[in-house]
Amino acid sequence: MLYTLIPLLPLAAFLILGLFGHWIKDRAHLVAVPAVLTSFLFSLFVFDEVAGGKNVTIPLYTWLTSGDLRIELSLYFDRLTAVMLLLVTIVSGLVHVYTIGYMHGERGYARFFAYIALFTFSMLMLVMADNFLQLFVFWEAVGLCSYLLIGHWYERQTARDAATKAFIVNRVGDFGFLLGVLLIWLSFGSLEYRHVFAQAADLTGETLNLLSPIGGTWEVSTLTLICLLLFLGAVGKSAQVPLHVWLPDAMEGPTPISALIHAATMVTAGVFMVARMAPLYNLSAAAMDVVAVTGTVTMVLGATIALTQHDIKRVVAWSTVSQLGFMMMACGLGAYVAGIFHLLTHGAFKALLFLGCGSVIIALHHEQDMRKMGGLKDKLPVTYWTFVIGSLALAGFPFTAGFFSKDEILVEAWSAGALGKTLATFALVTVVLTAFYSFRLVFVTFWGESRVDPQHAGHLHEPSRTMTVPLVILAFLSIVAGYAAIPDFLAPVLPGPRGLAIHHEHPAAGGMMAIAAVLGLVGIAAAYLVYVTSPGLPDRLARQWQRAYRLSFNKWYVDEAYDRAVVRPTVRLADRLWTWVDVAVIDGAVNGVARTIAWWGWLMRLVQSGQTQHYALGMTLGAVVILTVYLLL
Amino acid sequence: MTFTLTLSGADLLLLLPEMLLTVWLCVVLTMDFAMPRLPKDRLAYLSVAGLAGVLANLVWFDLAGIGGTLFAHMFVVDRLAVFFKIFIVGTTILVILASVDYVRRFRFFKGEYYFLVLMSALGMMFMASANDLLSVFITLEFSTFGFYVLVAYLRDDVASNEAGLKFFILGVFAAGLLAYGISLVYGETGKLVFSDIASPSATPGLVIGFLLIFAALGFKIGAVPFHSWIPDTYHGAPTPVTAFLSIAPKGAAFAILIRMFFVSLAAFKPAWVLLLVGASILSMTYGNIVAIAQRNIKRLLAYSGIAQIGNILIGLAAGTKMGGDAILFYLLTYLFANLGAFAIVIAVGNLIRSDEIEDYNGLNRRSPFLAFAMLVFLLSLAGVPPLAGFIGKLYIFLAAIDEGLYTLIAVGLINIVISMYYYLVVVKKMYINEPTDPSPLTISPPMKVVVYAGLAGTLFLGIYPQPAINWVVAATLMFSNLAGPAAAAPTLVLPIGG
Amino acid sequence: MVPLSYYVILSVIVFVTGVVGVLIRRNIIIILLSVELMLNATNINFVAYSYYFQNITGQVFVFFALTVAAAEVAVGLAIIIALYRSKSSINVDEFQLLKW
Repeated sequence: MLYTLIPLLPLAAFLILGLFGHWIKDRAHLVAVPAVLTSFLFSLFVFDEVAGGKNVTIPLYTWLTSGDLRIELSLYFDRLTAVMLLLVTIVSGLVHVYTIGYMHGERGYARFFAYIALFTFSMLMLVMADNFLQLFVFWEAVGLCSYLLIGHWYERQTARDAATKAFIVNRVGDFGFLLGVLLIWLSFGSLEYRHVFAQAADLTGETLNLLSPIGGTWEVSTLTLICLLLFLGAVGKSAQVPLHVWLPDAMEGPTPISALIHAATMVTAGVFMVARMAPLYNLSAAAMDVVAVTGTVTMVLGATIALTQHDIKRVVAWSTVSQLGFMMMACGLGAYVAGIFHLLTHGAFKALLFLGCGSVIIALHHEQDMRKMGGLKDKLPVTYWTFVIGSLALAGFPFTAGFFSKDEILVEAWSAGALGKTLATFALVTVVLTAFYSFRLVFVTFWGESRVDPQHAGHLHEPSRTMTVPLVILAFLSIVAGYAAIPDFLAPVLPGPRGLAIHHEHPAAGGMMAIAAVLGLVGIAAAYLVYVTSPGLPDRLARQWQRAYRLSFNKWYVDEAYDRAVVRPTVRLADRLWTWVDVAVIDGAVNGVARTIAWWGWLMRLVQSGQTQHYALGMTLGAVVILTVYLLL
Repeated sequence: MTFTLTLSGADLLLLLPEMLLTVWLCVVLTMDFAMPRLPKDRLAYLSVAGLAGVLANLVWFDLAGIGGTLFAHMFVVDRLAVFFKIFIVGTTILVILASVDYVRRFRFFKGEYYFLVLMSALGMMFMASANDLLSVFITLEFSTFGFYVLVAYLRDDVASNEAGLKFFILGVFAAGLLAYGISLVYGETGKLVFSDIASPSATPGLVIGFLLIFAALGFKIGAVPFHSWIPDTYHGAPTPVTAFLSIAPKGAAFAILIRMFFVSLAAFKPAWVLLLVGASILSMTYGNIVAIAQRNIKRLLAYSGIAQIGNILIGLAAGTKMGGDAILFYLLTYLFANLGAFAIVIAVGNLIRSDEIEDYNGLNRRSPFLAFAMLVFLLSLAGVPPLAGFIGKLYIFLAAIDEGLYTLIAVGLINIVISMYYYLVVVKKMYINEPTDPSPLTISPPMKVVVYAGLAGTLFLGIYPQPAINWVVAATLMFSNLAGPAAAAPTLVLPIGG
Repeated sequence: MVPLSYYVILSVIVFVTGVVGVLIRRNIIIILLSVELMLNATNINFVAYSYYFQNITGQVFVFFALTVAAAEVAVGLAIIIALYRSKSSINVDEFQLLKW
């Protein structure tokens, strides 16, 4: 009963708010917040039960049966589910509380709560799914909620197509996902996890001829094909290259949504899915390599692009893309435990960063451009300090949660063969970049001179208590989550391809920890040099040019060399990557395909000439062609 | 040769729903003439009451398992026929309710409108029971005559006249093809009853005959390449008639198609799979791609309807009992979603006198209920879970995958992505764009009933489809002997099917 | 005794004439007559086959086909009159308001 109530409470909140929302109006949070918080308490209880090693399946009802087809809606609880439940209910609960302040007095307050309650329900059902169809249905449902939430509450007029784009790009991924599910049905005759996982090993070695419709031969391992098709869904949902284009655009939505859906929960569903399907992926080395490489590419691309953005939410959004790639890389290298560990800590500190951005944006009356901020640390102390903690965690600063989870991934990756070592090197580079852009954000936004629009500068103040309390709680979690023994907790349920991972005894562990910490610090220091020391630099340089001999040459030289050798090329590369790879190639391809199809639509509709006799001729020719085919064959 | 017509009471019982409806439509017509001052809305409710009685009668048939054949097997009552009759009567009830507001706009012949709708429904009920080619021909024409008049009903509206003309010319042309096809089949076999013409060898006459019959039925359901009347007729016809035309005749025609392919032609399955796969791929792709270019919501729904028919043909191409189940279930989901969408079009059209998609801008501001309902219906048509359309598509695809029609499934899935695009264009206009005229819109009670029925059906079939699935599985029990996955090893279909 | 094939060939000729008439004639009434030709081709077939099989079913069909044809003409003429009122023309190619 308790188990069932976890998803049902948010659902009930949704139904109540959906049906009576026009009557409840401003009291909507009185319905939604207790529902989600109770779910959280129950999740704690479930966590405790499951921690004892007991896996529970609770059938809800038989969704459909027809012949061999039998699909039940059930709730499945194991350790992986338990930690995901905690993540979803905590973040969702805090976002609910935060929303009270953020959406205060806005149009459609009740409806907003209804939709986030619906989202919470769908996400909970997704992580508790015990069969592929249920997974797929709620996979779609979370996407739909995200679409509704972005579409309803645009904060800015730009990029109104973002919601549609998000939905369609996701459909491309889901096309693969559904094809994968159908292939599973064909291969296993069942859609339940436990049957599929139990029989998965029997399928190794079986192949499918992909080119048979056109008479060719291209034998592909069925398992690899299934894994890749499912992964296509994850690529869409978790914003991996090349389907990542929707996530930054989705930032047009309100910030609590960005925190809940586009940072902590929905976008991590892809990573969760890959970890959940570990028994399948472990049997297909090829699919895992694809996952790992895709993740790495996404990680590097996201981090480099984050360097040059000016919109604070976009910086955090690109950082999310990058971190998702990082988790995906971990899963691809078989370090599912580490990937999920990072997913959890990332959920805490990224939600914190987004909510922090939200506070800043609210305080500045919906200004999102970093160049019009600065010097906010005294005005918004709570936001500032929590934001710093979040950034430290993101940068992997020692003894924050991000440090432990990042380190976990790096060590695991390093020990995963040649490919692992290569990818781990990329990951180390990304650590520097991550530290750099996250502190660029801190320094530019909160330090230095205030560049705030004087209109708003006078009455800058910390947002209401409902908004700061969630920040403080998340900041707390961003530190302590690293100390929970989550890897040990999860290890039994997520075996890697080489069996259970025992990371502690690995000789590289200590070294990797030190390297990562140093690299993180290097990144922070670089950001400090560029964004805190440099603002005065141009002025000083002007003076120093005149008295060339007396200037402290070295400092100038270091700064300049650093600027020339590292910062500018990186920035330029990032800019290039963004304009070329992202805007031109990927966006171009997506839009190009859409435009081509639309163009065909315009062309083909001309067949419908309006002349009745053309129609009759078309029917006759159609019949004649069919007849000819049949009589000659 | 002597004819003896012997009808017992038990035989007449089988005709009870049709007889009830016949009596009732005479009553409606007589009252229209006899009481000229009677508000015409009353006739609508009177018709609905009669249809409700027929519906109750049919439900009783279904529950009691009453069945049998009449007139030398020309007329059959079995669970399949009863399913389709319930489908048709249910659609008619909702269409009449959705018509009430619209009919007020007519200047003439308000009462006859309901009579004609009832008459078409009666014709389609006979179609559902047609068990030989003679009754196929007569019932098909019987139901279509009513539609010819209904499509051209707006006498002063050029578009309606033109739609009627196109529908009429192409319809009688298709009737000519149908009759000639039937004559060829008769020439080869000497018989007309479906179960008797199951001939062991495919002679050219038989092939041509059945292909001509398929062309006529393909015209009825609007499968490419026999679809060309659909967009223009849907566009020009009065919107409630479009709604009716887009659903009920499709169901009735599928009743005939199922009987024809699963009973008469079961032995030739390897040969006709190719035909249906081709028609399905063409319909889905053509319908979806051209729908993108539409600016009128009725035309958009017309093309989307062509694509939906392509989806249903997948189930027919599977040619198994599960395929049959899937067709029936899909038709149910299509009924609620499509009728619901048309109900919104009717409601909005009544209020703002426009069917242009542009004019749906900001509908969410003007009537959140209408916009939300439209969203649900369009997403169901697009196959988004957990709505009914998703289960329908899933069912069809699972039936097809058991038969190994992978190419067809891949094309179907790609088409879902394409269709998403134009459905979302409408959604975006409703939700994100600003309205040009922000005045709120309200809808009448009968319309509300239709929209609520559509919503309830769409959600219920999506969330708890089991009762409906049990129903359709029972309705197609007579096909359980059809070749299952194991027996299906047709070498002929490999070029496309494998 | 005229062989069956003669009837069938005649019916094919009449049917194709009807189809071609529908496709190329502009006047709606002629188109309607062409459809009648198609149906009459059917009738020739049915009567011939019925005689060949010594089986009454075919002739029954002919009666129904005649009825249907008559009903078609009635509905068709009504639509044609409505069109003539609005456009003063019954050429089918002048009605192409609805397209694309």
